[in-house]
Amino acid sequence: MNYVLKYRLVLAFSFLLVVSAYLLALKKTAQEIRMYKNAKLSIQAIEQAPALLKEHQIELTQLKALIGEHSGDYKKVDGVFFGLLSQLAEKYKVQIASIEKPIEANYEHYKIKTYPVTLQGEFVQVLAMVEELESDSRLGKLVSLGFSVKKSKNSKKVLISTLYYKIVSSDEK
Amino acid sequence: MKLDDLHKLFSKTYFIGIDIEYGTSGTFRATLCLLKKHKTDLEQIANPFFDSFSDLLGYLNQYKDCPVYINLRGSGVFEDLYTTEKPPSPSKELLFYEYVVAGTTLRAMARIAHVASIIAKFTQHEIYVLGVHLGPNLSPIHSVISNANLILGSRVALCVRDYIFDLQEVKGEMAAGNKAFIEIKDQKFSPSSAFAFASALSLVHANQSDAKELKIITDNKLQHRFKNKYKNSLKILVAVSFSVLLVNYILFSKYHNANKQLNGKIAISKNELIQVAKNKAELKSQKQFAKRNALAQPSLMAYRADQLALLLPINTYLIALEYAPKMKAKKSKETIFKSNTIQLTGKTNKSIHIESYIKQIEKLEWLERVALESVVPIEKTAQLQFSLNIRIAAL
Repeated sequence: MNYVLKYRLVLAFSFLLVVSAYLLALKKTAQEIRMYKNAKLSIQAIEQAPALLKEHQIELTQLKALIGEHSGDYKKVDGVFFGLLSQLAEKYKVQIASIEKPIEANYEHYKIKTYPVTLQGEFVQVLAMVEELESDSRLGKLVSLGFSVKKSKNSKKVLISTLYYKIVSSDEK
Repeated sequence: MKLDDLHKLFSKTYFIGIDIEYGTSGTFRATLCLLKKHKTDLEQIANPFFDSFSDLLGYLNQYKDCPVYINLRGSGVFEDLYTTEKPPSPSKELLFYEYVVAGTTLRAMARIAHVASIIAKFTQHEIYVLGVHLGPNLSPIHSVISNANLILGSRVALCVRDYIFDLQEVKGEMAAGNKAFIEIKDQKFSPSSAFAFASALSLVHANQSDAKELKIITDNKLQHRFKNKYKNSLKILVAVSFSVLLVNYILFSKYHNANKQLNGKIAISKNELIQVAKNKAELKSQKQFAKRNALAQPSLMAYRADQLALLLPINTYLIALEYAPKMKAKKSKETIFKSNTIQLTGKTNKSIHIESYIKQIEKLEWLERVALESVVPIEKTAQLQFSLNIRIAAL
């Protein structure tokens, strides 16, 4: 066999050797190194776990307070909300123009009801009523507030206030 | 680095020149010169003499990878052609050789078949002859010859005295009595040794193609080049494979053992990790939910709406105010509110009041930015209607 052919065979063999060395040896080592890096990260996470758990718990508690999850019976929530609204409207001499059917939605284990409410009354009175509604977060949360001046049937300008009130309840209860 | 450069790096630096002289009665005389190149210097390692071809092959077997250059003289090589005679007409069967030494043209010729048969004898034993010279090989060394007396063929002698070259016609009996020698720097050499040395030098200076290129020499050059490449490649392949696999084995063992230990530790604390991951996911989900439902911020709508109303300049009135306006959901059934936005519409009799109102709003601590969206005159009145977009800063 001449040396030109032998040399070409060596080159071909080298290529095969490189490929097989990568597949059988180098790739596995690279995999072990990757696993080692991940394991190191996991160990780091284990070391930080107690502090992280505590931190997460605090954040969750704060977040849940912000969401204002309703603690009562979800089936009776419509009545409770109407009762509260009527009470406040009477207190601040504001007229409830309408309460539309609540928009219902679900998110993971949460059930959500959003009540569109229209009020008619003095700006200052409505603000006072809304402020009290906001201050009590046991039932739900005010998510939108709007004011607009419209003409009534007798061409008199009236202030119409629209608010959206959201009540969140958890399925887990 | 190119593969060829890599091969050069591994190439040996030995060069062999052989002066072969066949006698008329079939006698064989060969003088070998083995040169070694050290960066810029040359060293003569050996200068043995052989009187049989098998002895010569036996010696060459230990230098099989070295290139060989041969100088042929004696029977079969016609050297009696000099300047005074006409050169022979070219023939495909003849290897004609002409060279100039210090202005003197010397010629020699031999049958190609004869030369090729001698080279083939070497090739059979994997000794590759990369160049051939016919007659006295003087070109590579003529500049250093100070004194010489050489009989060329049977009719002409080459005399050198103090670097002056002279061809003299001599009678046969005179030639026989005259002892041939070559003197270089006060050292006397036999012509065979000098020709062998010159032949080895021809290789060093890559001067192998003095004579007409023979097919066997072309083949030998190719084989010799690839033989070196093949051997170097094998060495590199073995060395690199061994090193890479060894390093790989060490690394694999190291990380495999380390992983075993770490995985043991992780298995013990697996529950903690699961709990952390669960909490993290729950937190993420709660944050998303709060953001989507405008629940992420404490409700201060009445307070802020009141502040905006109180800041209204003289003769400026609110027409509409929307805190966290409802967005038009296209596909989703969810009600989404722009919780960080207040859309305000008002009217005034002077544009300066709008500017003053914006400046007042900008002072509010909970504000991110306020943008004037439009100012349009109200029909049939001298008043202007303006629209502001107020962005609330995140907590």
